[in-house]
Amino acid sequence: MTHSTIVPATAPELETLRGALGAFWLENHLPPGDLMTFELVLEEVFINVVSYGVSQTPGTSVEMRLALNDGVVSLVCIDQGIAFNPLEKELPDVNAALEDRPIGGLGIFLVEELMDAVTYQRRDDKNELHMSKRLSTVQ
Amino acid sequence: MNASIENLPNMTCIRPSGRLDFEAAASFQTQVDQAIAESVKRQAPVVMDCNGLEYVSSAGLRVFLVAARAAKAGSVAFIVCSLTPSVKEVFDVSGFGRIIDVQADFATASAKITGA
Repeated sequence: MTHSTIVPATAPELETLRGALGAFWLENHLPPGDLMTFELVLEEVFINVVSYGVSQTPGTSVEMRLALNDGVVSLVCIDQGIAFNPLEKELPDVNAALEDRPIGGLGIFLVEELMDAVTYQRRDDKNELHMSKRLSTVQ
Repeated sequence: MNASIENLPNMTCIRPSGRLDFEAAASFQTQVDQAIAESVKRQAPVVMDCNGLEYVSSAGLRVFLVAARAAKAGSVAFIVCSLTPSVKEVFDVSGFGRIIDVQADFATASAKITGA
């Protein structure tokens, strides 16, 4: 069963999506430790979309879809912005020294590291970022 | 989130608590910038005690990075301690544990300062 939440593409709406994510977690009795990981991923992806992706097309919305299948939670973020694949961005060098470490670019890197799978699709003039992770068994 | 800043005789202690997300990051950055500037002036090491920090995103990590750089530029030590498991995971994944001095708890962090 898939839960869908649609919000205006503005940063404060992260609160609404976070609420929906928390409710999904409670409803399905999922481990709290994994909730933090998904909250982080949601923040990174949503803020990325509202900061860059849809900034050229105001008044649009973002949809978050959540599903649980055999212990794997999938989160899909769909926006109506111009075609933008965040996975094509150059990843930061996590071995760089303190002085050389770039200030930005960490968000999507964290998403890719914390999720088991992340894929991008352009479909029906929308950007779809699919993320999934198997839940931990220890609570 | 909340943050308290304590100017002790031998160190500056910054204690953030709650959620350090994109929304909280800007005002926390301002607080930390001021605290580091003050520490540099009096050449006191800075300890960021994260015992009460439940959540950090990339926006929050940025505050740590900027703070560590400012401290280094001002020749004062910058130590982060008492990371909760979820915050520690984010530190580890991002490689911040290699560029920022992270200690297990406040006692270890202060011992490092007094021993140095």
